[in-house]
Amino acid sequence: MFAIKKYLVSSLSSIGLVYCCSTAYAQDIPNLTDGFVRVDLEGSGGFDYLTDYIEPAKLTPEAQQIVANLPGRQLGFDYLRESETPKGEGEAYIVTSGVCNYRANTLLQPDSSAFFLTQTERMVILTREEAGVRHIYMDGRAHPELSGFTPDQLGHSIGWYEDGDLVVETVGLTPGGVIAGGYRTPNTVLTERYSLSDDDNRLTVNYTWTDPAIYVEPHSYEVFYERLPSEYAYAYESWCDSGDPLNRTSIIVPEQL
Amino acid sequence: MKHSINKFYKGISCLSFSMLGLLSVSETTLAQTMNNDTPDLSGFWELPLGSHVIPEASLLDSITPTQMEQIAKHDARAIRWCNMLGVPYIMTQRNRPLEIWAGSNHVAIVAMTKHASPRYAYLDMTDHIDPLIYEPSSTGQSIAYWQEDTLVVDTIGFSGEKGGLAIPGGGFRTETSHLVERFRLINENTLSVVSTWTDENVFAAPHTYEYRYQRLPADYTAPAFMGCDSTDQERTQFLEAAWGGAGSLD
Repeated sequence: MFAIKKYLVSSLSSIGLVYCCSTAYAQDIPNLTDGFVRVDLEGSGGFDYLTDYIEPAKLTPEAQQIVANLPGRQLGFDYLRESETPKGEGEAYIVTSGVCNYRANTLLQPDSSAFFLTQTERMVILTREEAGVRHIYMDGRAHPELSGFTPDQLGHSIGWYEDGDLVVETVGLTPGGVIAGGYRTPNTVLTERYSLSDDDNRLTVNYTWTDPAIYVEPHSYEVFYERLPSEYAYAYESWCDSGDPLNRTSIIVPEQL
Repeated sequence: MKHSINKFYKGISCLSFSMLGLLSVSETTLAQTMNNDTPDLSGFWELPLGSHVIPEASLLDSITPTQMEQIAKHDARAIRWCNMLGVPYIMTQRNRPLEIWAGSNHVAIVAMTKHASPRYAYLDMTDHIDPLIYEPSSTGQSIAYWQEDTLVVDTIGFSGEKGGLAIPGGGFRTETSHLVERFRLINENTLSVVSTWTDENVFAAPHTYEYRYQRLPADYTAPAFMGCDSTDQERTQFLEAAWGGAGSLD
């Protein structure tokens, strides 16, 4: 009798525990497996102004010096170099180097083309429509010791769920610029919080860069994305062929009538 | 953070009690979110040497040796210019582990190399994108479904120009190619992928081959991205010497 009672108590406890825990578990995991595309809520008017709404990073004096010495935008192509000089008939506007680079930075902070999240128990990956994968380890592992880690453009990311959001923490990034006048080194911690709206269609990602050697206070801003429509939205292949001369051009001036 | 991870694992351990059959609501949510009710294909997979069976393809009589040489030259050019090589390259390369990540509405098949564009196999599509809309790509357009313990990935929409075209065993992909791949776990750590190509313009009969992949440990860390520099002159000279020139489209 005692054994049966004990069994019942145990079972009922398990049932309660199962219900309680599984409900919490279900609520804690947002459904992020999908494609998302950045939206410009500010109506900024152009790519050059997309981040104007972000408050500039507040840097330490040492970091201000580093950022001041970063190379500026390279005006290496016809349009930027000679935007007032129109090309003649049959001439092409050269707008890029034509080299299909690995754009790792767009995996860290997506640009205006779509990105895709794939959630599994142990991993979340972020991919684009071109080569490259960003891995977010969800299996409870810690970051590696940075002394033994070779920094790279994606660093090392771990993630967890918190209050219905996906939180991602990244270290080990190569030194370089950050949006709105920021800077990063391998020791800088980037924390991202992926939050879905109540209807699951608007994704807000809060990016916070923390590093007392660089920032007087954490450099934090939000970027907004919309989920691609579920029916027959699909990843495009962003094709790029460095060997194709047309890859460098925008338009070739047609015959003028 | 620890709190959340604990909660995460507590959730998983709670699920082990699901034999009680009292979790219908939350199981649905989990299945929707994590695709947990199917064999676990997610992970890093290594392709050991010799882990394949590739018979010689039966090609149409109209496929000439000259045509095959052109395909080889085309592919050499694609490698020289660091193109994304697409399918079947990503499934057969050994530069980086093959990664399969099965989400709720798609399965992503990726590798950390410049030559590999991501594949997305959509579980929530029952038909392919209209070929009039879909621009042919190096990976094609894949839909997927489970057939008992096997994930079937059905792909059309291939480009006959983009990426690497050669198919293991002979033949090449074109815009009329159709690929059906059957992903099945032979055991927890061995994955069989049986690929069958059909193409009325290339193959006299369906061409089927199999690759077997080994699962890498759960604590495996992804390798660094394997880049490719098309402006590297030494590399260019090396490749062009080996393959007799693989020039640009100039």
